[in-house]
Amino acid sequence: MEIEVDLVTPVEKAISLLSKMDLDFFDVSSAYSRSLSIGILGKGIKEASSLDDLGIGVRAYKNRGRGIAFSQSLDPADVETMASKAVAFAKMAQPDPYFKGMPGPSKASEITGLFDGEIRSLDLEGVARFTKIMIDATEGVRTGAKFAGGINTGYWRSYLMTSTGVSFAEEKTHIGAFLSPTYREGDDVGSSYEYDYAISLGEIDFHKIGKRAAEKAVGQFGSRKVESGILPIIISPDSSGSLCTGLLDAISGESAVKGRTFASNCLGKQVAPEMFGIIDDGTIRGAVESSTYDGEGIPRRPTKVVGEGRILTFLHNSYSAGIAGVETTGHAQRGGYGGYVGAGPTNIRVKPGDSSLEEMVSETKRGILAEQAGFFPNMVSGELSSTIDEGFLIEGGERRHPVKNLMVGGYMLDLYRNIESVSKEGRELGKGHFFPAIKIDRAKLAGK
Amino acid sequence: MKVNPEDVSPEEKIKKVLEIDRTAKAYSERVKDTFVTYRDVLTKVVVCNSFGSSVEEVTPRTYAYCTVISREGDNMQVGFEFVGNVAGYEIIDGIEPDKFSMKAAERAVKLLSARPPPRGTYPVVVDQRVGGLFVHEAFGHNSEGDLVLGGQSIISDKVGEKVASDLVTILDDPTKLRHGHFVYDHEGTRAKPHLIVKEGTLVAFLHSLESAAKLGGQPEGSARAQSHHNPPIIRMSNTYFAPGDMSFEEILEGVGLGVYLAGSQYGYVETQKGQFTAKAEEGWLIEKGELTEHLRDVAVNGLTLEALKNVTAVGKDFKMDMPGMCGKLNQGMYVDAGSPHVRIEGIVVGGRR
Repeated sequence: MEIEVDLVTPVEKAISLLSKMDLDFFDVSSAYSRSLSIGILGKGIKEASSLDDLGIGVRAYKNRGRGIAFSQSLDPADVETMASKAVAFAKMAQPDPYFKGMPGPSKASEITGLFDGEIRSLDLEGVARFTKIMIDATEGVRTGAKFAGGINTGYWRSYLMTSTGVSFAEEKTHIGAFLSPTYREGDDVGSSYEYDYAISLGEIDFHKIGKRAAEKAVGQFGSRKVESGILPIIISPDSSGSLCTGLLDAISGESAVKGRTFASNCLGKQVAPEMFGIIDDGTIRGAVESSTYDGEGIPRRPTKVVGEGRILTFLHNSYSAGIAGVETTGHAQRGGYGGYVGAGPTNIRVKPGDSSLEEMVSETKRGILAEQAGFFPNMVSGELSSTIDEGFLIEGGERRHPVKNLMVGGYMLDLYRNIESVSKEGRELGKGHFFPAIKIDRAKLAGK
Repeated sequence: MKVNPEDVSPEEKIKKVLEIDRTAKAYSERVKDTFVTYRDVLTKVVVCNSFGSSVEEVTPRTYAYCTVISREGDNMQVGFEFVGNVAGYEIIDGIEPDKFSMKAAERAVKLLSARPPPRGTYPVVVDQRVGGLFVHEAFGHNSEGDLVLGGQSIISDKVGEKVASDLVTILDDPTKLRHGHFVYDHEGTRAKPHLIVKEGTLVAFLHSLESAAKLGGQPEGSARAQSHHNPPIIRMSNTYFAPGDMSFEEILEGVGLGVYLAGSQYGYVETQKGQFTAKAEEGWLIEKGELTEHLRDVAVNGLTLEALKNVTAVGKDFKMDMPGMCGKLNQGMYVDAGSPHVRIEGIVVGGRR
């Protein structure tokens, strides 16, 4: 049973209270979410759960000192206690010389397609039916798998008001599905996973998730160790997202402008070959990371982040933009009602190249195809050392066998500098992200 | 709990945090940035179930973290130090900034001149924190009864079998007063120490009421939930590698060329395949039994059963000092892990050299 909650009145009351507390700036946000989840383990559904969450949070500033508090009760007495705590913290906090204020209101064109009534009205039986479709599709490829995974669906709405006149409401839906089948033949294991997520139910192909997961899992039988070496590595569209996120996180917000990341000094610099580009676009209709406003009420806008291999801008909220002396790019991220506001990418779209994954493989005499791997660097030093969770040794332009116990190491920026080609086809995720295959002409691999 | 954090004023907490911060900043001109975090959490859990269990448990946890970023030209490194436990403000009172902050700052500055590790397969020696991470990631998750039931563990059919060298004994003990401590789990079962591996032989799994009933084991209190928003699932608590009888020097002896890993950063495991990854804060090259070159960004990968069979030395210098959160099925949970120094042959070391 969904709770009908008034998110606006408690926020207005908190704003009214805070306006009498001798503050310089403050904002109040409230959020309600409802989610349904089906967990898969073993031969099928393990459990089902539903969750309603509700809360309200305050950010208060006095003499550049910040206080944050939140409450999971909208009861007026609890809201008042929360507001008083935030104010007390703000008044005793150390002043932040970089804080310049909160942005005022801006007009924006509404981004549509972020809400799907079908998801909001889904019940657990409905979600369970989709689970069965995934599992049946896997069994259609090969029977006998043991599974892990699940489906979760969610509905979320929020309301934000600030002392600078910003006020807006948002409403969004979400569905995500994940399936990992594991097959065994004696001591040999064939295991992989597949997933997808979207705003709308119609965007998810549950049959395809199950089928692809099984095909990938079966393909992992007979994995073998590979010698250490310096070889080309082809990063599949399933894995190139982490390579891109690793760079964009390093040029986002406070850490980037305060010189705390490996890419802090890369603004305006060539970091990749000229054919490489990334656009961040939080305005795509119906995309998972889209919204009309960012977490501070600044309109979202398409942002060319990497153009012709050069970093053209950092991704800012008002705080980091103030330090850099530029306008915010509308990338403030508010993680719910907790009160904290950071900065980061939205829908990431890598510019397609002119190659294809199969061409990359066929042109490789000896190299590695990384099907599943997380290229997450040390954000300070930029060094990374990652396991290739699933991959293939390529010899003579063909996938020779799956690999195991293999790591790739290096500097994040070296991997970008050594990009040899980008595929024209790739993976669309959440109707917003686009990740192609990326071939790095040499990477340091650690194996047997 | 000796000092209730709620009895300490926010002003006093801020004063302590600033003292820790100032000391770290003062260490060297190469200290570029410092971050100090203080946190206290009071958790009250009430569990009632249809078996008639009705328990209530209140647990305080208190933490301080000091992170230091060092810089020399374009080279930036990070070092950190932390304390955290089932305890009150007394563990913060016990912090001597000259030692606590200095450790983080010294590590960050020294890493500026450290080198990347050599790539390849080497014997590795792990310190108590990396050993704790290893036992938690590489083996602990595989012993969780729900993953065993769900076909996601590589040891599901190996109870009573040899899964590790004779030197390996692994336990999970929620009764120890460390970060993963509790008296009753979230199904109302009284917690007991769990012996998982005894001298290389798999003895038992960690159980919830359900997995114990289905697998024929004893529920000894391993089911916990992140909050009232989540169902209890099987979690490790204070997981550790039992001590042996060797000194650190004896463990290093006989290593011609290897890598010593110290301080844990993070790790993960693919239990269904038995492949794990662990990242250390720093390392040293081992040459002819001696620690030589200082190394940074050291990560290792291994195959669980292979690695456990390749444990060739276990130290007597046991320590449990890795308070952290473990993620599983979208739930975070308080855990700790410990180990003595341990030597493992044939581990893949990732690196840029």
